[in-house]
Amino acid sequence: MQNICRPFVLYNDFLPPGSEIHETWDYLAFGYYDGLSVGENLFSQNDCSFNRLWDYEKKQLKNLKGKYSEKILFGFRNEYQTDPPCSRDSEFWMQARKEATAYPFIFLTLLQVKTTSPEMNLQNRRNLEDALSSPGNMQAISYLTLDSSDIILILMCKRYRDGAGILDRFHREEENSPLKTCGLNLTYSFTIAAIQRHQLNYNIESLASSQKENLHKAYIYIIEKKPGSIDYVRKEIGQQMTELTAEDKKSHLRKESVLGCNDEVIVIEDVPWISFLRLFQDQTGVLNNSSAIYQENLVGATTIIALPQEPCIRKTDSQDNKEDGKNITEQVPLLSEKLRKMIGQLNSGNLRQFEDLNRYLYQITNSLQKFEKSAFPDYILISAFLPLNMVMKIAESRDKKTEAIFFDSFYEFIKGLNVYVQNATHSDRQFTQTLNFDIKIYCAPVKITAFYNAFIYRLKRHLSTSCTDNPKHTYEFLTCLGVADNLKVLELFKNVVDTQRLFLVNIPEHQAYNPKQMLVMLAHEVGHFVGQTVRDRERRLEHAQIIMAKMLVVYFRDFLRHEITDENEWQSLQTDAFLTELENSLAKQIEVYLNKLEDKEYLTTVKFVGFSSEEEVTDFLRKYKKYKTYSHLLTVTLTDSCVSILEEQQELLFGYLLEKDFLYWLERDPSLADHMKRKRERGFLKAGIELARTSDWNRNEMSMASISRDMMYLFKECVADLISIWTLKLSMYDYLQVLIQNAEDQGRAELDVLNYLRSSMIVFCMSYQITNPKSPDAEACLWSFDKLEDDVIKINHESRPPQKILITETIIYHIIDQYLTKRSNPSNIQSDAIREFENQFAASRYRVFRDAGVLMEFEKYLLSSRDSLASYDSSEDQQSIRKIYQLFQEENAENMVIEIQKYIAEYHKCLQAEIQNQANII
Amino acid sequence: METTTGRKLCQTLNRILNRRYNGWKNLRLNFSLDTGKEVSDPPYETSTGHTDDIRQTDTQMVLCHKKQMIKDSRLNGNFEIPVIWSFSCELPKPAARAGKCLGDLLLELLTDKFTNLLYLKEIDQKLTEAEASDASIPESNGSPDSEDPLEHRLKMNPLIKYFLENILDEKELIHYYAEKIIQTYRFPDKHLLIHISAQLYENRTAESKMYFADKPFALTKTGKKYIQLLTNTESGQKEKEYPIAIEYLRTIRKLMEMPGEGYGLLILRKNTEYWIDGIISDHLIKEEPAIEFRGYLHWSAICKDQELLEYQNGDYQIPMAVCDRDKDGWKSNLKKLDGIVKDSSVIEKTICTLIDSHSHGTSIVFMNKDLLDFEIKRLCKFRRAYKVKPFPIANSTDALKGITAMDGALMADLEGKCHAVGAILDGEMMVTGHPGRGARYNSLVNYVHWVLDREEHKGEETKCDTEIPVCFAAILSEDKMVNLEVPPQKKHKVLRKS
Repeated sequence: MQNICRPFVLYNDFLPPGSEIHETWDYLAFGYYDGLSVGENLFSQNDCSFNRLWDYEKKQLKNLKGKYSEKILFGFRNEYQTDPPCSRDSEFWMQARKEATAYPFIFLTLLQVKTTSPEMNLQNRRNLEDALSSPGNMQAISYLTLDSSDIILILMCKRYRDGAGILDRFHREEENSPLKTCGLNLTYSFTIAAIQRHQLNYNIESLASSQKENLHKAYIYIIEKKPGSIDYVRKEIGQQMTELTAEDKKSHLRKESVLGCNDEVIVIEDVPWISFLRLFQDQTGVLNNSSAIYQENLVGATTIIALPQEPCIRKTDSQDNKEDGKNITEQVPLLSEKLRKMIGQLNSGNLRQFEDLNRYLYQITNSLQKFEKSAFPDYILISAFLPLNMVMKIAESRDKKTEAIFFDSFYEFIKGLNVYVQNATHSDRQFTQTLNFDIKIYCAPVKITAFYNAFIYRLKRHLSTSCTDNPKHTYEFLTCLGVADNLKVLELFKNVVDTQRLFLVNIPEHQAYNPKQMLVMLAHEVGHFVGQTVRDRERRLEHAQIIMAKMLVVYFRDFLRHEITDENEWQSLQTDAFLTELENSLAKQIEVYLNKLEDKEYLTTVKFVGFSSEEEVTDFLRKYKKYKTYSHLLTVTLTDSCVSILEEQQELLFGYLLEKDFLYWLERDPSLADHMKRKRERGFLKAGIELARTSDWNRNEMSMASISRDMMYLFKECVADLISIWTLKLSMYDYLQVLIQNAEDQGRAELDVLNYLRSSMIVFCMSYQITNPKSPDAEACLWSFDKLEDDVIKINHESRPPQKILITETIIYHIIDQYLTKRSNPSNIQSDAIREFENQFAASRYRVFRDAGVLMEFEKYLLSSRDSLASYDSSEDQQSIRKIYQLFQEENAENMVIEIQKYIAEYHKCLQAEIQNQANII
Repeated sequence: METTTGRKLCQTLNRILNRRYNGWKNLRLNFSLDTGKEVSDPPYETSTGHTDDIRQTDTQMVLCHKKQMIKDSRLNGNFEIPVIWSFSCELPKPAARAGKCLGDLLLELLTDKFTNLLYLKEIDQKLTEAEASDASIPESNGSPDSEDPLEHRLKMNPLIKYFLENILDEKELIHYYAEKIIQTYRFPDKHLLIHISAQLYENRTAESKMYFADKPFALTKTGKKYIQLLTNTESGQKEKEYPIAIEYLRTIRKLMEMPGEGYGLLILRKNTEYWIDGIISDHLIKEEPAIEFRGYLHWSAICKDQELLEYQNGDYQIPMAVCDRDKDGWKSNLKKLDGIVKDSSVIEKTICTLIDSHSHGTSIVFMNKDLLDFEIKRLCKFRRAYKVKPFPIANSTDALKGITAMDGALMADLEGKCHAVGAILDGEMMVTGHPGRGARYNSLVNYVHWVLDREEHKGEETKCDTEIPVCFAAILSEDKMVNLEVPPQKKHKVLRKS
């Protein structure tokens, strides 16, 4: 089987166009587009990665010189073994590209077909291709696409009329139209007609003579450079049409005035093709941008060729204007109407800002309304309804305190929505005639965005219904392609209404072309926000307190090892027992101090928090109680509590060691006892100050803030990783690949220490047996530590330069071996990578994580989260998510596109139902 | 919380204090958590710690206690907890105030040092180790001041020394005690009192009383029983004219001649100033504290007829705390007799009988039978001893009064029977003499060492049989000091003479 992905580049000259001959264009196009080129197959037998599309786009962009714009459509198909040795695709384009091709005209048609399931299997399309092909006259080939259309149909013809006539029959829905015969019901089509440039410029006589009849009619819409310059152009057109007499020119060539962006239209009727085609030849043709006449007199020219219509038989179908059994015109409640009512009822609050808000909301709702029940399939805009609905609910719930947050987030929402809808304004849709400054931030096919929308929808539905104790929380995500260097998820309207949460997902365009990686990353990012029971913040808080205590003990152990170098003294002071007790004390004190932050008296008299009113106090305490387990607050309060503890509880924490040390020196050398005690006290004080200090000059130094931050980072990232891994049933290899790729995307050559720890804990967690699986699939999701070990040992024995992934595996293996397992015979693999890692680890600010107790405490939390995830394996959404991810493991381009289309269609159904549901709610 | 912390400390100190202050009974220090209950120890009579509440009985149970918030830095400690120290003892009623002062002092010293439960725990451990230690007791060099081996071991440990030195060191403790009495009753500096007691007037030593009060007595009520001094000048002040100060020793001493029997000087005080106000009858002021000068370098602090402190010839004493019989700690040396004599209590009783019966100095040498016979024979040959029919010394107090008046030592066997009297002992110089002691002491110490050394090195010439030679002596000096000299037993060759 051969995977095909062929790029079709549509060119559009800027107004006015440049004067260069478009040497690189394969075809000159009539109509909106000015040119067309067809690229080589981007896929190979075993590689149908979408990254190649992105690479191609980049390469194309580099070659643009600011004279014209491009739009690239990608067509996908498979060629199977049963095909002739030379596949249809290669055969087709070999014929098309011949300089003396028998098929000078090409019609690229974008078809949208009406079907309940996008089952445009290969056979249907093959049948269409066969039905349309007539060797010597016309050849046809079709492709699947990720753009708004469903099929790209290419016809190459000897005669213009043949191709145009076929296509005319399509959209007139003729009873015996080849489309219908092949089981495809057309809803919309857009065709670009073009002529091979080489034939036009070097073989015009032969080309024209094969047309058999005259050109029926052509309309040339002109924008003149200066008033009256069109007269000169018309005169020149007449002169170039040497086949016409003067009389003919009067009747067959006329100009008419029009309004709008064009100034006049020249109508050419019933003239020889050669006369017409000569007008478009390079440098000499008046209507070619490279001619001097064009450059001097015209801004732009658009040519539309018309054909006479022949009668056709159309079958009327009583079901035509019904959808899903319902009459399309039947009045159903629209969500957009309900939204309009809601806008009208919003309380005004801050008047000036509210006026802006009002205006935006009406504008958006109005624009979106046409897509709610659109006859034209829409992949993007319909997905904006639910987020907008949520914004309205949040707007209703806002009060004075949350007003400022609301407006800030609202403007972010508008910007995000603006970027989001750009994806919808692709040129394969119907376009407006207005000339606009169209920067086109990104070019990714719309179905890619729609696919990610569908995926996020399923995922959030699974996590918010299965993996949460509070199904009343609603989550909406709006994806914005292109405007980011890395995948980022931004929550809007944070803390305004807890049960309604809206997120902007900024996806870098190049990553969008890597669905295998993107699905993992999206699952990870969504996992950060959805999935309460998996995250279990209360349980996390308990572990966080213990881990903080353990890490501080690691810090002080290192400090004491530096201070007490005599092993006898160490033993005599029972330092190990002291450190164990210190850990218990710290854990208790951290809990105490965190609870103190709920005490008003403590806040005002000890912390000196300045409250301006009683109401402010109450509000603060209410918020703190509500959000104290949330990571953004917990990071700060943990830091603050630990600093306070070290400042205020020195005696409680270190009293034992100080006194014991004092006694030790009393016995050993009484003259030094007081001095040593003071020295130890100063030492502890200094160690505590060092830890509490945060330097703006070097934020990479270890401090209490960095410890807390790094710890919460691990909590959050590991849980999000687990959600991603479990919902997608990722393999260890895939997980590590994504992690490494992500690091590279962020400009890092390899993982840093913290992310090595993160990945090690994940590998350990995923390799650990589930004690009470509730799902038969649960065991199947687990990874094998033995396999990791085999890989690592193998690398070290083979002495070959290891790849990045294998280096990562080696270090992960080492971390697990050293810190997480309690094997009696650790393998003690030594390697440069491990040595280098350990050196970095010991010297970095993460050195407090360098402790089995710390890491195992993390693991306890993670294992519990994992088991929680495992208990929801049977969810339908879960199964669907895994299935779609598996799709990208196969190397089958056409199957991939078909499945994507199916997935999007299912998503749309769910979305429509949900929108209708919202509309019905009074 | 476990309550055994401090127990070992109290046990050890109790043992030491009971040995040291054997004139009092059941000295008991205790440490425990403060549960809030009243500290008491039925069925004895108790005091609440205030001296005014001491009851009138022959023996008195004195109880002091001190509450303390103590830090707890132990592992699993509780940061700070309330504890209570208590001291109790049974003592003669006239010593009750002294007992109370000693108790207060001990508690003060302990609470001052033991500010942390961790210290107590460590000390308990060290004390346990010290007791279990096999460290050899340093050999006595004949010093009469040889202390209890345990106390000695304890002091060798720097940690124990740091915390308990003030208590373990007997002299140190007594000095603290003296200072406490001076401060509690607001007497003048003790060095001044010593100077006064050493000051002669017309070759006479001071024998008088000084009563201390804060304000003068109303003359109308006192009548003839109070004679008040007036200032010599119109604007004069008594504190400047009759001060109790080192520069005015002669004046003070002179004025001390004024009170006769039943009278004493009234000393008024304000802050640290003291001056003589007049002469006052004992009856009027017996409630106030007083210093009674009893002779050269001899004075006592008293209050309400109770002696609090006695100073004599450079030494301070706690009244009735130390049994006269063991003032010098000779009893602790009885331990050295373990394994040497069958029953050391016989020896103890014998010595106590001698203490009770002698008014002049005397001494007694104990030996095993064979050696005793040999020595008596040797000395009698040169008419240096008088052989008597053996009689038990322990029950012969009256008879001994005369015998001990005679010059020379008694010679007794290990059952406490006297075999010879008036022995003038000889011997080559074996040990370094103690220049501060007299001929009796030095010669007896030397004799017992010489005898045993002779037995060891000159075994072929002895007429002893197979018994191991035992020889030790008790010396009762003229100045009431008692010493028990027990040389280390040495190995020797024993030959039976045919």
